[in-house]
Amino acid sequence: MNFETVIGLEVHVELKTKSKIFSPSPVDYGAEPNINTNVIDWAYPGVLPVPNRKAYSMGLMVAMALHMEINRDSFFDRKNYVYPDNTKSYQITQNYFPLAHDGYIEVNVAGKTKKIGIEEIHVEEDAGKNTHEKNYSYVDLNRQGTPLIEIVSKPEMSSPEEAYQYLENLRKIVQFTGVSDVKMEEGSMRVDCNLSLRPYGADHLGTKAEIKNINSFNYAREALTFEQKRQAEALRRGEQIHLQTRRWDESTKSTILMRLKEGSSDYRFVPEPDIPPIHIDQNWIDEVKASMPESPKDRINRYTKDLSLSEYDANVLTQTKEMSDFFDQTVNLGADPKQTANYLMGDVSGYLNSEHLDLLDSKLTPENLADMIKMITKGTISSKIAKKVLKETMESGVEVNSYVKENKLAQNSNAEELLPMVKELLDQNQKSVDDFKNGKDRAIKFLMGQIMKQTKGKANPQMVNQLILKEIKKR
Amino acid sequence: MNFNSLTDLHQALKNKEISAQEVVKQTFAEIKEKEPKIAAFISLNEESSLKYAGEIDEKGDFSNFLTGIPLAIKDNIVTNGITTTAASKILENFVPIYDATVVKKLKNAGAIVTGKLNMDEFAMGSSTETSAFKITKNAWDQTKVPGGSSGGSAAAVASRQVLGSLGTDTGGSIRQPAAFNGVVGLKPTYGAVSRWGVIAFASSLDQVGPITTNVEDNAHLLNVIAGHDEKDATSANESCFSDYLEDLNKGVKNLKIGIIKDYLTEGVMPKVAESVKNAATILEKAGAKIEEVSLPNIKYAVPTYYIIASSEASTNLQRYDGIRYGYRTPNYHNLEELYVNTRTEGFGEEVKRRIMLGTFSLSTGFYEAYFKKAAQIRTLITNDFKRVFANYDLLIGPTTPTPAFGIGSKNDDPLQMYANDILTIPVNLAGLPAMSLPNGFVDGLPIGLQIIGKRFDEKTIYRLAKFYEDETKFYQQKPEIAR
Amino acid sequence: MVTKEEVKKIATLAKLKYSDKELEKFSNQFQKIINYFDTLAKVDTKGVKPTYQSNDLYNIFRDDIPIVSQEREALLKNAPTVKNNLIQVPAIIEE
Ligand SMILES: [Mg+2]
Ligand SMILES: [Zn+2]
Repeated sequence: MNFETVIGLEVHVELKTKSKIFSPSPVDYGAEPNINTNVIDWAYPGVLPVPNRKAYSMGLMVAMALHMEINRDSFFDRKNYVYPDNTKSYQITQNYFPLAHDGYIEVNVAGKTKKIGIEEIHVEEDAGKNTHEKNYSYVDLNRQGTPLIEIVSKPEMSSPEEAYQYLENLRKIVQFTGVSDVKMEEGSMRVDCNLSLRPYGADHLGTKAEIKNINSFNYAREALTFEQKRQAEALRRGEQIHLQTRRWDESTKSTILMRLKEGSSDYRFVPEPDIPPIHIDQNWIDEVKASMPESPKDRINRYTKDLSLSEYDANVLTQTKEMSDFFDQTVNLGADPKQTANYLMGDVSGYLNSEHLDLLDSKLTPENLADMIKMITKGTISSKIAKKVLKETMESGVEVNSYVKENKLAQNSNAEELLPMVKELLDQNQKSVDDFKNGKDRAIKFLMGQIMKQTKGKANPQMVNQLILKEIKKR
Repeated sequence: MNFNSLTDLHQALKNKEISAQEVVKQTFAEIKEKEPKIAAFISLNEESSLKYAGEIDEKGDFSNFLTGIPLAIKDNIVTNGITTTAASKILENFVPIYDATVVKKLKNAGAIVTGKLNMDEFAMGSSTETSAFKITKNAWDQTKVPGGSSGGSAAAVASRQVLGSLGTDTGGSIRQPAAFNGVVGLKPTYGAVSRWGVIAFASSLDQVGPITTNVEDNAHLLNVIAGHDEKDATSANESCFSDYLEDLNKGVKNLKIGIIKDYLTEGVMPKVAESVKNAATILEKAGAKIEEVSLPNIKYAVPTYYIIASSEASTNLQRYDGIRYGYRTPNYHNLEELYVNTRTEGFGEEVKRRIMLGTFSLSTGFYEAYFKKAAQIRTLITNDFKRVFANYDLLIGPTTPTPAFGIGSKNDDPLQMYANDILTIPVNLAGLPAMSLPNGFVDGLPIGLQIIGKRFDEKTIYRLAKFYEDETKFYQQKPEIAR
Repeated sequence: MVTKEEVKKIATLAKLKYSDKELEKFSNQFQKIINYFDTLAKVDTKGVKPTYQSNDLYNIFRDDIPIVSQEREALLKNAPTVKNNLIQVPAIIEE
């Protein structure tokens, strides 16, 4: 029997606010344990939550970027479950009337574009963090109350590849809104995958397995591929799939059963009585729209139309917001767009890859890159010297203009200085002059080389070339 | 104490007839004398009260109404550095590290927090018998309950251990004990007083309010504790507040008052009903317009309330798990046992019952039929009040169906205990302000007149109350223990 | 009817425990109260909007301004078991 795969994804994204969603404690990673906590985070008797407007606005921005319908009237609910990192024993989330519903993300698989529906986005709080030792676990509440949005897809993906693309595109869209770092490795983006199989043509969904603990998009694809196969084999053997939670194990490249879900959890969702409902009026929507950064699609358009970049270049530059922002800043400083694109996609990317660095973590600044490109355009430095300068500024962050000056790297484009040298050279190499006149083009290369040697490579090659040709003609 | 009201005491302090330290010393002397009989306090704050009084005397500025005045606070309102238990074993040794907004406001006004008052555990009860620590006695008859859940707050004031206290009212928990002890208790409009630092029972119903020996004192205290608080998202806007003393002496002429018909029938003792009719006659003579009104849906108020309050309580109280503060069972081998044994040992019977009822009402398959249904009936009850208040300034009725009942007399039947709240609950469901005002005696025990106002119209409640108090002088009668 | 088994299940959710002896008495009482709640079933609430809060407030928010509480030491002091500034609990087995 052949089966149809049904995949749905739940993605949690941490929002980059300065303070928590229901308490004024700072949101700050890598801080000392429990430093960024207060009585609210600890769920002390008598404390009350007051929501952070910025967090809701950020959620709103993502909802708009995902073409979702905003619920003009929404509210928070309590989701009840007891766990050491969940201090109130309820999570403040949205169940009955969440922030937004019914959006989509486009994926492109095998040359075909498909819209994957998004069921809803809700705004909620993160829990603290547990670490485990043999007999004890330990709770750090610094993360407790960090704002999250949960983006719940419709079960509309039919292959691990579609899921992969959905995640890539979702990450990209969210990243360009600027509300989150969306880094799987750092936990600012977290994915739970649901997969079930059903016979082709069946009208109801099969029983699903949920896969947790996935920390890269590649693992998500691998885990779904494994799970797809595992379930198909089980079904072919005549086994029944039980509702269950599994986790991806990287070392064995397999999903491992964590627990069966037998209606053991009952979250008893109830409207949060401590927080008044939320009404989103046109003003608020306009405010968020106005503050929304340009989307990747709009950027690609601008790059190809206004800056005459190729479709390919525009696409590569908009893979990440940091790259695209860097490009924009460099061009705004007066650098030639095509040159900027070439350097960013070539030397810069190559360097970052070999050093395993992120653009923002490197020492390169748009100012230095722009200065360097401007010098090339003006002929102040050669492209060969430029490579050296770029490497230096990427490694040490040195200011390009002064570096070129101090190390006397500017090329010599002064005809009055170069002409006597050329004349003297031709005088001494009559043979080469004759060779050239007899059609041996190579002769000019030799002559050029001599000048470059004399000037220690700083002569402007184009200018030297012109001067030699001109002088030979005279002879 | 030689003083009968906060107003008297304030005058004496202002005129330097007595120092704050003398007042505090006298207060603790009285508490020590009366506590063995009344058992109103869970903890006392004697040392720092005396010290603080000394500082106040040194400054010598008594222009503020509350400066140097001893008050006491219900033990579900957190006090920085003073043990706060909500009368539960699960918080037996819990020392808060912050002050509730109301406590901060009282302190800023110069008041002295003498101690924390007994109550039903987590404010769940109508008799103060569910306290894990002690049973408070009625100031008028020590074989009777003081009412609840703010039984300690009312008994302490009625026995003149302190002349003012704070209570909380979720379903009548200020008004019913005020009625049972012959003192003035006000439940403000939902949102008028900050809930920051008030240990939650049912968040959409809880409200802090003052208990005093007379109406003017009560308005003074509300003036201090009411107001917007940015730490409480359900706190009302600044524009909702005014000076509660403003209309105090305006009389009742031309006030349109509805007497709630439904409050005089079922389960209400005829003598109690009679007292309300007498009050109506007095008010009418003074020029008020009195008519009977009906609130047809309040007959559903008790089950509606118990579903909503228990549901909210079940989630509010889930945080008491022995992990971060409070009681932890010594009997556990793993995390689950830690949770279950801590809670099973730490909570009393009534609290567990309400947690169970609430958990049930919210669980899958029952949410629609119980919690949501109750929330819809809450709308019907709220609309009943809205309709009536379109034509009336105030509503009156009894506070309770009977005077105080005997200690232990209703312990075995929770439903009978719940039914006792029938006349106070509707106001909480609708978020309205209401007062219980001394209204004479039935069988030697005090009873209360309940005055219900429009949202944020406490001023008009005080206006009627002050007139009626001056007219009847019931407040001048004191229990034996206070004479 | 709420069976004893259902009462047990509710207790599990609420992290409470009733001994077999207590369960007998409690279940009876519980059933009585639920029966009382059931009297609401007859009330016609078709199309009635539920009331979850009794004030008319909406959009009550804070600005995104972080405040360091400086409360860590006091908070940790109240916790029954603490190690290295972390709250210590018996091992969480599930993960
Ligand atoms: Mg989820
Ligand atoms: Zn979530």
